[in-house]
Parts: sequence; structure tokens; C-alpha cells
Amino acid sequence: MSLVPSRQFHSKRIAYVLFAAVLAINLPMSFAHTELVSATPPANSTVSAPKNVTIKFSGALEAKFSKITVTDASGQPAAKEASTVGADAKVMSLPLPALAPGVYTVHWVAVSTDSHRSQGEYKFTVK
Amino acid sequence: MGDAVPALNVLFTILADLSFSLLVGKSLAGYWLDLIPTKCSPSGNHAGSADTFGFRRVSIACVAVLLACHLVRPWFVASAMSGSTQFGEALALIPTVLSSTRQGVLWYANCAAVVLLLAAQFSAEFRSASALWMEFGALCVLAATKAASSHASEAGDFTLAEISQFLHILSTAVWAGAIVVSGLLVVPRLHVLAGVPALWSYGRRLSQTVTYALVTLAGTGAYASWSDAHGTWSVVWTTAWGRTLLAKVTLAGLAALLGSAVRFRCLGLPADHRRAAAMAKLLRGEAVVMFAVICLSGVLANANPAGIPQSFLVAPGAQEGFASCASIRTMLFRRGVAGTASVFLWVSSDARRSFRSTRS
Repeated sequence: MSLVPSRQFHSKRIAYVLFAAVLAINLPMSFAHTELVSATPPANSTVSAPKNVTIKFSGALEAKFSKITVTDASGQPAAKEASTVGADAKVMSLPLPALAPGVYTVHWVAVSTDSHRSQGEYKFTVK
Repeated sequence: MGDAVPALNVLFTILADLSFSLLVGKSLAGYWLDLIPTKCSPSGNHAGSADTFGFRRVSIACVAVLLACHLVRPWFVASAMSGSTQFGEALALIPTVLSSTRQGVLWYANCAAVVLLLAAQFSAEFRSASALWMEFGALCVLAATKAASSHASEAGDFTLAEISQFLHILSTAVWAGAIVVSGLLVVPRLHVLAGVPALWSYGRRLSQTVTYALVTLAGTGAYASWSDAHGTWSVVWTTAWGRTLLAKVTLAGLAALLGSAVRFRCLGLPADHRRAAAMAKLLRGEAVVMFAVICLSGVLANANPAGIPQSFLVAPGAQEGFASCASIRTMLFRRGVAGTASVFLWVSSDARRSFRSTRS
């Protein structure tokens, strides 16, 4: 028995639509992960001695596993206190003592609530 | 341990996803078998039909695998969160994970679901209504906790994003589970045991349900596209992560094409033995492809999309988890594509031959 032409056309069209839908539905599902949104002081900026470093992320953080550290030009820790995640779980900050002029490096580790971990670093200069 | 920890994490994720999908697929297949008219039922009665296909053994094996995956999960979470691949270091952090993180809270919810699943398997009547409801409830809880532990829960619990992810997980399990169970366990034997009318009755329900699952996947996927894509499409073409994702998408598309061939070139036409044989082959091919899709999903679930620019602040090698499971990813990618290509050629040539002889 041969296929009915109109049905064949109909089935091909549905198959193409299905294929396109599957392509569309799979692509972006895994894109979303916690990203750094903004930082104070900003990266590569020259600022007066800041009182703290505050970084905002795109998603909520796990307080026990996320952290910020700041080191001076010689690689020594510049802050004595530990960083904390605020009431807004997307924001993490580190109080700083009075920093002497120089170049500092901010190292951050962000662990999102879906357990993914990312990290990065940037520099700023105290004038 | 080195690279072994992320690789083991991927392996356990694949096993858990596969077991979850098989449990969903087995439940659906059992229901569809019960709906086959008694005269067509393989064992002559409704209650015996599911056992004919070894569903109880599959079910117990899947629950055992899920239990094992559940027990080791806190260790993998501790390892992922701390970035440590040392067994002892991650082990010491398990109490912190269980007491202070969202993943810990969800682990306890998962405990309840696994206990329910165990109770359902060992209840006196394996296919009693209470056992089926317990299993259904447990599978829903598992899907809900998986959605709640994903990125979709970032905006809070019971949000549209989380509910959409919950439906996405269930639809994926319905599609993958129903196809794998039907393609590998039910259809080849149902054809022989009960004949073509029973196969058509079963196949139409399978096809209809999978179509609903695909529509749900399209809806929830479109919502995720709208809410999650941050103009970062370039990573799909430029990174290994993107190529793995493309392989998964291609395989999912291939599975959908095979499914549409079953629906329109077999089930849409009058039932006969040659079409039944072609359908069995197409479904077997689709089942193998879906298995590969689950494997690639497991790899991607444990990976950050390496290469996504997190402004200029990201340090090289920041996406640790993904980088360290590069070997298993590459292996799965190559074998998945090669295996799928050969399955596709085999299935299409067989099906073409069957269709040609059907026409003549």
C-alpha cells in the first residue's frame, strides 16, 4: 500500500516543525549560571581607599562556600575579616582596613545554590 | 582522585537520570499494557501483562541505583562547592553541605522520595493502586527537588521558572523513559506475544503521550530561552561545551524524527506485520538515541558553560568542574556521535527496506 500524498506532506511538515522545536528547546536550558554582575571598586579602576569590596552576582550564593579575598602587590592578604553574603543572597562583601596606596587584587569564589562554582580575580589601584 | 571525582559525578548523574526516566517509562508502559483489550493482552489478563516484560526487575534495579546515587550525592556536592577533588576533604564538608546549603535541604526531601520508592517496590502487591500512587508521588518529589536544585530556582521556590523546570524534567523523563522501555523491552516482545493489533493499541498511546511530552518540552524550553539566554549564543559554536550541547540537540532532533516516522509511517497507516517490524526497529533506534541524549545531558548538567564571558573579570580556568571532566566529555561526544550515526544508518536502511516491501 502506498502512502497518501497529502498525509505524506502533512507528516513531513510536522516532522520538520518537531525537529526545529527540539533544536529550540534544548539550546538555552544550560546557559544560565551565576555570573558576576558588578563590582565595587570596579575592575582596573583607581580609587580612594575603599571601605569594602562588594560584588553583585546574577544568582543567589551559598554563604559557606563563597568568598572574597584581597591581596596587595606582594601577594599578602590585605583584609583581616572574612567576607559575608548579605541579606540579598546575590551580594557578597569584604570589609577592608585603611589601605595604603598601591595595586590590589580581588579574588572571588562564587558558589551558586545549584552547586556550581566559579572564580575570578581583578585588580584595582588605591591612589 | 584528580579528574576521577568530576567523572564519577557525571557517571552518577547519568545513572540517576536514566533510572528516573526508566521508572517513569515503566509506569507508563504498565498503564498502556493494562489498557490493551483483554483478548490482545500477552498473558490473557491485564494484571499479568506488565510482569511479562520484567518490569519488576527493572523497577527494583532502578530504585537501587537511585538509592546509591542519592547516598553519594552529598559527597559530590561538597566536592563541587569546595572545588576539592580529594576524597577526605570533600567528606569532611558533607555535614556543612547537609546543614547549611540549599542542596542539603533538598537532599532530605529526596530521602523521603527514595523511601517511598522503596516502599512501593516491596509492597505486597507490586502493581496495586497504593504502590502505583506511592511511586507516582515519589517520582514527582524527585522531579520537584531536581528542579529546585537547578538554576531555575534562583528567583525563589514555586516560581514560574521552577514550575516550568519541573514540567521540563518530567516531560523529558516521559519522552526518554517511555521510548527506552518501549523500544527495548515492550515493543519487540509485544509484537511476538500479542500480535499486531495489541502493538498498534500500545503504540498509539505511546505516540500520543510522547507528543504531549514534546509539546510541554517546547513550551517550557521556549520559556527558558526567553528568560535565560543572555545573548551568549556564540559559546555554542566556539567551545567544547557548546559542541557537546549541539551533539545533544542533534541527537534529540534525530530521536524526534524517528518518533515522527513511527507515528506517521507506521501507526498512521493500517496495521500489518511488516509495518510492525519497521516500527519495532525505529523504536529500538530511537531508544538508543535517547540513551545517548541522557548521557550527554548528564555531562552538561555538571558543567558550567565554559567560555561564557562573565565580563572581563573571569580568571583563566575559572570553570573548574567542566574543565576537569574534559576526558569523559570528549569520549562521550565522540562515541555518542559515531554510535548514533551508525544506529541511524542501520535503522533507516532497515525501515526503508520494510516500507519498500510493504508498498509492493
